[in-house]
Amino acid sequence: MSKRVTLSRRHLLAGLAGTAALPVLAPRAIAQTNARLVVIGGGFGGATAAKFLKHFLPNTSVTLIEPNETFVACPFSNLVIGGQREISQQAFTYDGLRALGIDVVHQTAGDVDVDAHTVSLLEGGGSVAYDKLIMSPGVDIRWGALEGYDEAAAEVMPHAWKAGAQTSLLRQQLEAMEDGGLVVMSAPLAPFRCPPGPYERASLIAHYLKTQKPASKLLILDAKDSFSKKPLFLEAWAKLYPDHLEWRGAADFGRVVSVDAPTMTLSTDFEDIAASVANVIPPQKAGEIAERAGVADETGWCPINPLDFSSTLQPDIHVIGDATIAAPMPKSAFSANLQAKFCAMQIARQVAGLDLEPTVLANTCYSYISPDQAISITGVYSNADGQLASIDGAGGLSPENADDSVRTAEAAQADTWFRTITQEAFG
Amino acid sequence: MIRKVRGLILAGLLAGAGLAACSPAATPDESVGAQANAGLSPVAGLALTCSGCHSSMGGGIADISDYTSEAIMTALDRYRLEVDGTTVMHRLTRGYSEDQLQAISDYLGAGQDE
Ligand SMILES: Cc1cc2nc3c(=O)[nH]c(=O)nc-3n(C[C@H](O)[C@H](O)[C@H](O)COP(=O)(O)OP(=O)(O)OC[C@H]3O[C@@H](n4cnc5c(N)ncnc54)[C@H](O)[C@@H]3O)c2cc1C
Repeated sequence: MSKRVTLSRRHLLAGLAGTAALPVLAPRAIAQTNARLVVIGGGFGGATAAKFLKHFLPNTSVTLIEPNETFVACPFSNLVIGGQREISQQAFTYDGLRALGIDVVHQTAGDVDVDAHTVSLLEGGGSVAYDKLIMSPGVDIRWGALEGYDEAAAEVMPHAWKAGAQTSLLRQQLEAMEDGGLVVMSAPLAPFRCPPGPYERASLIAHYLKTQKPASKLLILDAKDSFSKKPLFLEAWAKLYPDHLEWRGAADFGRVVSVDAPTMTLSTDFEDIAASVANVIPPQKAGEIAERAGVADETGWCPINPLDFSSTLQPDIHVIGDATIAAPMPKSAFSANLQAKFCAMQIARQVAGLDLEPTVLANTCYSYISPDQAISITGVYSNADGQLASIDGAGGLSPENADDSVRTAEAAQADTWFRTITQEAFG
Repeated sequence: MIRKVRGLILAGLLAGAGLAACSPAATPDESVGAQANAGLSPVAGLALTCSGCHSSMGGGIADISDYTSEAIMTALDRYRLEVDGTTVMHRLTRGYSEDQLQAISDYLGAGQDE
């Protein structure tokens, strides 16, 4: 036993040795039979991680800490806002994980004691001990970073950037709006969850207005001048929604500097705009528990060693998903799911005393431009040499000016993707 | 033996629901042995991406769980070489070397090759 442990340690260090810039944190040696593996956050990253830890290391104890009994998925929630889907179709339970022998604890992780290797539980008290901890807490809103946008304002001007009640609220407001109204969206600077998400949402809101409330209009106020899939979205908007959607970038005073919820006003450096419905997508940071665990840096996001997604700040903690600094990999459910599988594999390799091999990672994000048409962005990434880097010549966008058949085929692929990834994470 | 086990692990990954079938199969002592190690090889790492989209769900993305290695490699090669291809696979395959694609094909098709 001790021989294996030494081996696994040496191999791990050998694996890290190529990454001179990153601090090498001495990991706690663990053995297969009694390892305690704990995951914080049961979203796309965390649920997948728990399943694959159990898959690769069937005899370890795997505990998933997640407050909600039902997970409400963000991907495809823009179709709920657009009126194509019900919010109930976004809901997933943890029964599938329990059936695999994963201990699902419906509590909020209150704090992480990195020295004692324990996670304290907020509601029930007590704590859970870990040998290895994977954190996938997603994002939290930076309340107040946009002047006037606090939790009370979000009940009036929903962000709908965490799916659930916020998604339903925005949908209800759109339905209740009289025809002739002005819908205003505010999009933040990068980095934020789902880079093409605001523009997919804008497309589907514009589709709703065009077909149901034709005298109304959507204005997108953007803090940036460029955004994900921009040429494809601009092409789609010009073709599909010329009278119902206007995008204003930073150069045209699109950046919202403050909001006033009581008067439904969004202010730029140039003017104050009164909205009938306002969707404010605010600045974000890693889920708050990341800060408390000491795995987030001054940017609010979590630096990781991409060889195994281990935190560069704390030993025996791995961070995956939206919370990480993993650019050029985007903050997507696809990325979170793949990082989870790979991170679980690297932890299993370490337990088995195998070298931590680098790999090739990828991402695909589909965005609907109308209820039956979609576009995509892909990327392929190397995690060798201590950093994530896009592989030259690969990845990129769907073709511009493509036939409708290309767009409808991608919509069908998006649908299969959603059903597959949610099955892989929660099924 | 190893081939068969690989096929099993993969079938599980690709079927989505199949994970349940894999876990109880391992007994304590062999869990860090051949079976686990086959599933932990570098090519297994490369292939982790595939199961995010390919499953038995049906619809717009092919279920490749019954493809042979050759069938997978033929498809991947076509994607890689077709200059005016429009799908995500055209863009993704260009990020891998031919050796990597061949290894992924061999790995994913292993259960179907006999
Ligand atoms: C409108 C919209 C559309 C999107 N569309 C797509 C798409 O088409 N494709 C795509 O790939 N991605 C899409 N995304 C992005 C995707 O939702 C995220 O990238 C993904 O959810 C990230 O996974 P995660 O595990 O990091 O976080 P999450 O999935 O958000 O999971 C985090 C979990 O952690 C839990 N948690 C937080 N703090 C604690 C704590 N202290 N203790 C215990 N648990 C905690 C939360 O309750 C939550 O369940 C979209 C996002 C939005 C907003």
